[in-house]
Formats: sequence, structure tokens, C-alpha cells
Amino acid sequence: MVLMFWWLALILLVLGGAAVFYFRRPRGTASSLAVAHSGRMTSLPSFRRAMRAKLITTAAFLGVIVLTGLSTLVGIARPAWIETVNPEKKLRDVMLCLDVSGSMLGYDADLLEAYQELVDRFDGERIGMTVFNSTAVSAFPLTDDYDMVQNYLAEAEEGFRTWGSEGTDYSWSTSPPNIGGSSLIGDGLVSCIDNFDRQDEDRSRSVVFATDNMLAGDPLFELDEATNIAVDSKVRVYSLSPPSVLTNTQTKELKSVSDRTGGKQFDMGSSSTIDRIVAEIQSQEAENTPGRSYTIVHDMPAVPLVIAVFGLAGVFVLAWRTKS
Amino acid sequence: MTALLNRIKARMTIHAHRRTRRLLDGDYSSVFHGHSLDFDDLRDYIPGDEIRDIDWKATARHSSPLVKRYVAHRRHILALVVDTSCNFDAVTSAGVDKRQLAILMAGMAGYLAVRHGDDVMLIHGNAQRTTASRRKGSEAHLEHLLQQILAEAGTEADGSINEQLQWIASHINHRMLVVVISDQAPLGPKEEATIKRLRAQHEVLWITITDANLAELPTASVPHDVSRPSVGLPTSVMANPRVRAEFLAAEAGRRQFRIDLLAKLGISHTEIAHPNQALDNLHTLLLRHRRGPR
Repeated sequence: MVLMFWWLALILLVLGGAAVFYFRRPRGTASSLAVAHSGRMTSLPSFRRAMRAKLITTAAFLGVIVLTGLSTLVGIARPAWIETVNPEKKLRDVMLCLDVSGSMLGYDADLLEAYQELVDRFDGERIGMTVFNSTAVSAFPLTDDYDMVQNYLAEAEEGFRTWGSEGTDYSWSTSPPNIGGSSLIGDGLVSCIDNFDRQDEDRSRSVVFATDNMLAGDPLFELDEATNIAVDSKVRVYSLSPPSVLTNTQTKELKSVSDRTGGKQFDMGSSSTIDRIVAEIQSQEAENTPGRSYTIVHDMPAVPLVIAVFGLAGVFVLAWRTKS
Repeated sequence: MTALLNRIKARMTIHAHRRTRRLLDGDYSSVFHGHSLDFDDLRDYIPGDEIRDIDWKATARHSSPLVKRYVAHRRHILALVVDTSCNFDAVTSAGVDKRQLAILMAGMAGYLAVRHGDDVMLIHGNAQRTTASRRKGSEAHLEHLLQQILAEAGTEADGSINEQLQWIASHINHRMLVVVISDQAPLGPKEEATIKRLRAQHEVLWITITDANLAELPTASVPHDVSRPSVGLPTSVMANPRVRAEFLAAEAGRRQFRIDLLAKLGISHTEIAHPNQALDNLHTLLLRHRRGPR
């Protein structure tokens, strides 16, 4: 809460004070009437009562005038609520990229649970999800409607937990019979990258790429080519692989993809994975997207002006009462 | 130099009917019971008496010659006791200056005494200080006394008539005619004792100059108490009907109390608010005194 034109109120206050000072009634001493033994009057109980009543009335009158004046000045000073909006986070896009091939089916429900936790941590970023097997399907586009995102993720999780009998089943839609092979990793990654919209805007883009990298078939894009496309599109790839006892070739490949695109590779097993992913994404994006903050001014004149109007009415009433 | 007294004399001459003035002289002479007339009584002629003292008319109605006996003329003393405190820099209930009215009353009484060949003295002051003059029978002296009352204008001391009365009680041994000029300051038990003490020795006359009626001051005036010139009195509050009623009741009570007290002590008393009433009230006062307290 700030006063936009506080100087105007200050000037008016000084002017008002000067006006009161110059136009105040002079104290009459020269032409006044001297009387003796005023104690005859001032010691009377009724006189004291009347004086107290007059004092209270005068104080109330003065209070109303001061209140009215102050609230008018406050109204003139344009009270406003200034909000500084930092749009930094809104320039971030995160694409959740999920491999739903047969080898991953055992992990997908847990992954989706992890995704839901991930989404909880985000604030302002746009989230989208693409699932892929032999072909990629956009589960939902990039959005900041987190309620919808949670709904979709929960339904997808349920679908994987019940093997498609309830919730959303992505297995069928991602493996059409006319396309051979499964788990076409490179194609999936390119599809995910391709699902980023607003290409003309300078946004920070990340992919959380959950796959075991078990390629079966003949993809259109090798993982290497897909990585090049990611680097060209300035998309960071944070890869998330199922827990494995040993660091195998597939995991190493994923790590190289992440390293080349500026992301990181994580194992799903460790409990701090989600924290680390969120921290990583947010710290990196903060560097990459300096916010262009802007200010919104909400004027709030209602309260002081309403007080001023009622106070003015009160002043008139009291002036009339005093006069009569 | 005789500005004050001249004005008073003029007022006595112009405003008073000739008869009234003579009446006043008579009133004054009769204040001292039994001593005021030069002629005392008749007694048998003894050889050696002045022939011109023989009252022939009385002798004609008697078997032996009678002579008039004259009282040796005594110079009486008129003591003017005036409160000259700051309370007298205020206005009376008729709106005139209290000090000027006090000077007028003192001057009238003093002039009667001077004309009668008596001495006049002034005891004046305030709560802190009492000043007494010498006693003399000249008009110049009287003028000087009146100037002293006027010179006290602008004093800051509060008034207490009891102080002046106490001074008389402790300093004066002989009998005097005491004329007290005071205002509506309340008379308490202390004053009552002093007045009673004075009454035993002197002839005491009391003139009360009535103070302003605080409940009926003109609204345009800006009244203040003389003791606190910087603080105004609120006319709007004082004119409030309930306040006014209570004030008038209290005033009536105080007035009745003063009248009753002075009557109980056997002191003639009059109230005065305006110079126009001065002669009449003085006459009434002297008349009351001659007739004695009722």
C-alpha cells in the first residue's frame, strides 16, 4: 500500500494548516468584558456538566473534521497497491517424455507417480507430456493448468497400474500395427522436441526423458541424430533411467545425450532424484531466462473516499447542530 | 486636581432634587444618634449663663428662666472602607465600571461628611495589603482619597474586605461612622465575626456593588474573569437555560444570605449597580440606619 501522490497531500496539508493559522479568530482581550467572581458561575455543577458536554461535542466535531480532512487527503494522494510481477518462471517449458514400451511397463506407474511429485514442485512453468513407443502421442500439450496436468498424470498412472483396464491406456495408441519395432527412442525424443510450441519466443526448454534406452526396431532418427536436433533446438534433456545395478551401455548413451544438451542423467531409484531434477531445472533456467519484471498499479480509493463523503455529511450535521 | 470630587458634586446638584439634597444632609446629621444636634436640652438659668442663651419662648411658658444647652460640637470621623482589589476593575450588573461606582459612593458619603465639618479617612486595599489615610476634613483631602481608589486600578491582588475591617478593629480606638463599599464576594463566618466586633464600637453602613449577572451577559461580549484575563468565559454555555436557572437560584440564595446576615448584625445595607441609583440608595441607606435595624 503506497500513496502515489503523497507530495500533493503534503502540499495541501501545509496549505490547509496555513489557512487555518491565518483565518483563525483573533483572541479578544482588548474589547472584552471584565467580570469579577466568575467562580459564582464556574463552580456550579450544571455549568461544569454543560462545559463537559460542550468539550465533548467540540472534540467530536474536531475529530470528524480531522478524519474527513485526512481521508480526503489520503484519497487525493491516490492510495494504490503496487504489484511487481516477475514473469521469469513463465518462460520455462518442461516436456515430460515417457517411454511406454514393454520393457518400461513395469516402471511407468512409478515414473508417473514421480512426475506428479515433480509437477507439485513446479510453479509457473508450463508442462507438457508426450508418451512414445513405436510412435509418439501427445498426452497433453504444454500448459500451466496444473490441476489438469495432475488429472492426466493420475489417470495415466492408474492406466499403467491396472494394465489398461482403468484410466488411460497409452500402450495401444503408441504401437499401431502398421509401424514395426518398439521403443524407438530417437523418434520419441524428436517427437518430444517437436512438441515444443512458440518456437519464435526465446524460452527455456527442457525434456525430462524417461526411458531404459532398449531400442528394438529401426527408428527414423538414431539417438545421436535426435541429440543433434535437441542441441540445435536448445533443448536440455534430463534423462531418467530405471534403476540398474550396473552402469550399462544404454545408461552411458543416455548420459552422453544429457551431457551434450546441457542436462543431466538421473537414476530413478534414489529418493532425492525428484529434488535434484527440480533444483537442476530451476537453477539452470533462472540463469537462462532473466525476468522482465513489470509493475501493476491497483488504485484503492474506495475506503478513504467513502469515509470522506460520510465525514463531510457529519460535518454538515454537526455544523447545523452547533449553529442552532 | 479636584476632578473626581467636582464631578460627584455636580452629580449631587444636578441629578438630585434640592429637597433630596437637603434631606441627605439631614440624613447624615442624624446618623450619630443623640449627638448630632447642636441643641441638647433646656435647664434652669443659673447666674453667669449667657443672656443670649435664654430661650425666651420656653421661659414664657415656665415659671423660671430657662437656657438652651448646646452640645459641644464634636468632630466625627467618617471611615470609608473600600475594597480596591482587581475585582473592582470589572463591571457591575448594570454594565458600568465598579471602581468608578465605588469612587462615586465614597465621594458622596465623604462630601456629606466634609460639609458637615467632619473628618474623613480612607481604609482601602486588597487581600495582601491594607492602606489607611490620615483623617482630615477638607475637600482637597477627600479628592486625594478618591484619587487613591482610582490609582489602585490595574492591581493584580485579589480582594478581601475582611482584611480592611480587621485593620480597623486592631488600629482604631474611637467611635467612627464606617461606610463599607464592597462587592458580592461571599461573606463567611470570619467576616461575620469581624463585622460583629466592629458593630459593637462603630456605626457601620454597608454598600454592596452588585457584580455582573453572568447568566445574562450580552452574547456579543467576550467576557473574562479579571483574575485571568487570557481565559475567556463561554457565553453560550453560561446562557444555557439549565445553567442560567441554577445560577440565578444560587445568586438569589447568596443575596438573601448577605441581606439576612447584615440585618442580623444590625447593619444598614444597600445594593447598587448604576450611578443613577447612587443618591436614592444613599438616602435610603442613611434613612434605614436612622430608623435602626429591623
